[in-house]
Amino acid sequence: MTTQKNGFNYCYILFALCLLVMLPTTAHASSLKLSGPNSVVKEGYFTVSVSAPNFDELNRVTIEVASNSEFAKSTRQFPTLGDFQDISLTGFSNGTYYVRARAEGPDNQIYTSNTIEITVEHYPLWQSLTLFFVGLVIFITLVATLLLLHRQWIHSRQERHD
Amino acid sequence: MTEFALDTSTGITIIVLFGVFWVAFGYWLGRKNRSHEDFALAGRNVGFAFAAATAMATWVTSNTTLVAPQLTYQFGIWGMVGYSFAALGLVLFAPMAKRIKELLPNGYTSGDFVRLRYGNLAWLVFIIISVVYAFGWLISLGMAGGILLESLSGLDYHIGMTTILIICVGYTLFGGMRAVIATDFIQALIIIVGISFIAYWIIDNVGLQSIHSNLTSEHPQLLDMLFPAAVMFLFNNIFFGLGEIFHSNVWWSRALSFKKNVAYKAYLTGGLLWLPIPIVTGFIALAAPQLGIFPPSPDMIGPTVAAAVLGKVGAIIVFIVIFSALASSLDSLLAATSDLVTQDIFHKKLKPKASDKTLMRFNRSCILGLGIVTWLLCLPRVATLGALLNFAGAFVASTIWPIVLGLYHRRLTGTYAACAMAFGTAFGMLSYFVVGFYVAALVSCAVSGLICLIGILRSREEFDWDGLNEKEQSNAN
Repeated sequence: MTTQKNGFNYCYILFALCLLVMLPTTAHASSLKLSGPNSVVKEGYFTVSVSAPNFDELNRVTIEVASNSEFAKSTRQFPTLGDFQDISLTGFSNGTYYVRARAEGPDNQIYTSNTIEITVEHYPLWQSLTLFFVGLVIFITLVATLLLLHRQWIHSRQERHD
Repeated sequence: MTEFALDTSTGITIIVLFGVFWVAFGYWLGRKNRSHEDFALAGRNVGFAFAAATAMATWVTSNTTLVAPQLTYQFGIWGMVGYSFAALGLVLFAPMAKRIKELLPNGYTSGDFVRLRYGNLAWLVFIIISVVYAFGWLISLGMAGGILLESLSGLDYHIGMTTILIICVGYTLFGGMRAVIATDFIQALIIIVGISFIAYWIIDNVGLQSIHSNLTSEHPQLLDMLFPAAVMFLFNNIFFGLGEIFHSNVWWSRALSFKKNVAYKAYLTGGLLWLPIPIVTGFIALAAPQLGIFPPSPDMIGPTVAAAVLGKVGAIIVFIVIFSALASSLDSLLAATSDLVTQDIFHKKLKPKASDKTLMRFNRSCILGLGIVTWLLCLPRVATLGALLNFAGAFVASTIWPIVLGLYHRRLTGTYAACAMAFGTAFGMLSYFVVGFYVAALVSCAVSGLICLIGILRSREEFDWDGLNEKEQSNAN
């Protein structure tokens, strides 16, 4: 009977200790949050932000980008700079990307954030080439106008002097 | 946790030493100013070497040192090459500068020209555009100062921004245009030597092959010559650059302060010297992924990469180069904008008989006032530098056609010029919000050009160029 009572106390204390150890970990893991662009990215670059109440205590904050939500293959890693919480990523082709943050806590444990989905869909090429050629035509017209008018003025000035 | 390239104390020491030097130099140069013309236009007697250096150094600004790498980081090869095409602004302004000097031998500002050529309505639209642009540029320069110090030394953005503003306002206040041009000359030398050194160091240490391999495998879009947003951005950037230079009093006041026959050669040389600089600063950003550097904000990429590659000594060089670039533009803009306010608003509209001494005093107060307003507007970090600058693109690109045609063509009237600038700006802003910053200037220039064409075709009047010769009314006390 006495043994049973002591055993129960021992288990109870162990359970309580485990809870105490688990508490900060749960706080870290659940509080590491990642946010990013809300709309479709048209230019292939975007900025994501990592946040956590105890961000200063985290080390090696890295952003992981993958083309599938399981981060099974082709996962690219981008380290954040210093203790900045934002990271600007660039050069993405059309597609859907899954992005999450990973960080190392003071206890060397790895924590992972929520996963966000970012869709990159560049402008159609016909649209950008149309604008390009509109720009080219205006530019050529402008340069030709400027040079012709300037030349006319130089000639008229020379004629006046002659 | 953060390891910045420079200690905060080193950053502060450099900036204090530079600050003291520039302000003392400005004060020393300012002792030679005897009249308002001396203060505002350096006595209209600037020679070729100083003229070419000031044209080039003023155009090397936060745009070139921070935004060119930003756009390269975002748009890849096109960002870098497209940015360098902004040199066309200086090159094409060269013939116009010659014409300006001929038409307005006693003129002071670009606003003077617009008022006399097109009348009050167009002048009002033009002044609004100039003020919006001047503040957009001033804010971007103030912000760039804060970002520079923060990314290299970890110094708080607000402290860095405030310090750089105080220094530039200080020496411009004492020395006027003479100090602006003399400091620009030294700053141009620092910029050319410093940037060449950084580029050589990066190519030597990181290697072109490894940068190319990394970009091909990890960020292929940056090497894509058909990158849609970048293709759209190309001509937009050209028109933005043309609009900035063609309308801004920064460039007009220089053209008017140069000796006769110097302006054309000076702007052409300045443009050609400037052309490779964005290529070099932009290239720095392409090395970022290979080095594993991904900045919190794209406008921090240039100094961050350079400092990472070059270490502490390199960081000091980067710091000095970018500080020189910022200062050379900030001082020019402060001087030119205060000239515009003093001459166009105070002298021409409010106190036509103001004495020379009063004009000089008012000009100095304007410089101080502009500095304070810029500081207030820089306090909240409203946008990235690129986005902020390109917003101004919608405004300035609308002035390209009215300025070119106004200088050479007799038949464009004030009403059409005002409509071209107002509607060009409105449509440019609309496209900025509906499509993106990379089309704002293009749309603005296209709409403005169309209205100018209609104006020329419909007009029956011919402007008399003698109408630009306005008699000076000030009392030379």
